[in-house]
Amino acid sequence: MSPVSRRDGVLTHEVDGELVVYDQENDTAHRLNPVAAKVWQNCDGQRSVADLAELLGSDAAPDGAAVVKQALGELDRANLLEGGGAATLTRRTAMRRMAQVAGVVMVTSIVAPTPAAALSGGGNPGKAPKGPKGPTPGIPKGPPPNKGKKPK
Amino acid sequence: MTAVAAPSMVHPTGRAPAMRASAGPAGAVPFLLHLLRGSTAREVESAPPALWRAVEHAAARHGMGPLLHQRLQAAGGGNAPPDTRVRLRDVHLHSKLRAEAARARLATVLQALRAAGVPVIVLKGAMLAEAVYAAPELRPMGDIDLLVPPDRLEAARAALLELGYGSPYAAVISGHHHLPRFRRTGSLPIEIHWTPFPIEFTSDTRLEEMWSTARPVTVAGVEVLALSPEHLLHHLCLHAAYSHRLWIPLLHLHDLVAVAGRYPELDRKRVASLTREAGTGRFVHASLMLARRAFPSRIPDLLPGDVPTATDRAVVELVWSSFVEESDPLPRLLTRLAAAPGLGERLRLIRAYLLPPRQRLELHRDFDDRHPYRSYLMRLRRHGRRGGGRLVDLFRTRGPLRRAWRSARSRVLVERWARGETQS
Repeated sequence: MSPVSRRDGVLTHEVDGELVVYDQENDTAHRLNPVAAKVWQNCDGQRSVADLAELLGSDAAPDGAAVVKQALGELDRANLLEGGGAATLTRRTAMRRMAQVAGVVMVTSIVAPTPAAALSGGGNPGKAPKGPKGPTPGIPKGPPPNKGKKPK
Repeated sequence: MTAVAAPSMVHPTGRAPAMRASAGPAGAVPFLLHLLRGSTAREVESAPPALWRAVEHAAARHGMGPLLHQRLQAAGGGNAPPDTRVRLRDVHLHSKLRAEAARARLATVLQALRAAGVPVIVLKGAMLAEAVYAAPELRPMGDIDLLVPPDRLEAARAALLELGYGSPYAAVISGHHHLPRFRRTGSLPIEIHWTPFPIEFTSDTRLEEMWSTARPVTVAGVEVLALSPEHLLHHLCLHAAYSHRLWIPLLHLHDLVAVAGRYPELDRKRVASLTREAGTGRFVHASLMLARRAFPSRIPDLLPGDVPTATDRAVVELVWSSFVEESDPLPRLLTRLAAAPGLGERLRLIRAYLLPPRQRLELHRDFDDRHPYRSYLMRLRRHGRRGGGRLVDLFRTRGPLRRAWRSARSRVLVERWARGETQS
């Protein structure tokens, strides 16, 4: 199966040949080195690993396929590829093995710019809860009546 | 192939890792403040790499990463190691993209509120990022706070639900100064306030004055309102000292400095009279004194005529030591327990925590009418995971127990001070 990069809810900024990718859904950002950036930008569901390796040319020498697989593994872990389920898990396992062999970090997670939660009490975007259950009551003006009932 | 810097300080989740007080060299926060003030002193030039790494941690922890990057850029790198520069640049870019995304979502929300006929005053981070700081990414924020008139709360809530925002609560927790947070996947949480202050400091007169003195401002490309500089400063001080008991990131202290710098016309006498009217003098004094400790040359003495008490000064010293030592707060419940006067009060707090009134639980959208016990158990599990996790984190990563204990004692004293239980 040819890999597809995630583009929905993702913002990018190119800097010094690298790519910073911000994932709105998970409120995370990653720095992609030039190789990973090229792989991610060309994962269109049409190109195979061999095609991507060819595209990288000398950047991925001597073993282009291994480099592409490593990049795909790291992109997958960073949640920057479409897909999931059993197929991804199998691929992930394979990719992890490849990453251990190559020993070069291609995708680096970036520290969040917001203050630590313990200090600020701030939140971050993430999975939203489902909509409210049932009818929404009006806004009470006083405190809720406490009948003094204890839960059994 | 370009090998990137080893992610020694990067947490697997991308979040700022907990600062290990014992791991880094002493003085990370003072050094950070040095850099933020644009200092080019010799100690900055000769700082060892370990100190720079500690500064990165401190900057991340205090939300100062983008500002630090900006200051270092202005100083031509400030002799920072290349790895540090790259990581700070990344944090800056992260903040920039995050702010861009937040801005787009906020524009939609503000337009929807305007269409629903709801007047809005944008509070805190969202307003400061756009109207006070030089660029939105320099003022990262965790949520968006909007103030609407009390009689328009329901319309505001309907507009947000219409936009796909959800709230974990099906109703309002009464007695609170804002509606429960609205969340939507991929967006910053939104808090709709009817008063910017905790309700004990709210009065109809103060609210009316706040609305009548509000200024037009453009936020996310939409014309909205912002608090007058005097009310803004008052609000920020109260938020820092009362709502957060001064346990705030440096970013919030920098907000005060930024407001003072952005509005030179700020009427200091008016701020002083606002604090007298509201009885919030000690909170404003403490916040300003703390800001002056952090950024001495950038904030003037703002309150003429009022003199902080010895207790206020002692509290500021205590909090400042915690800042410098980088100690962490204990979970809020433990602090409140330690501060409670007597066993009876402590038992009452524990009971209220473990077994809140059913009416309060019923407000939660996950409340199960048929099996209310399950809701209690679910709540305990939620709180246990959160509080337990923080406790484990505290003892595992935040330095020796003695430091935690000292921090806890400080917190108790500040808690009592905030409640007005201490005398000079």
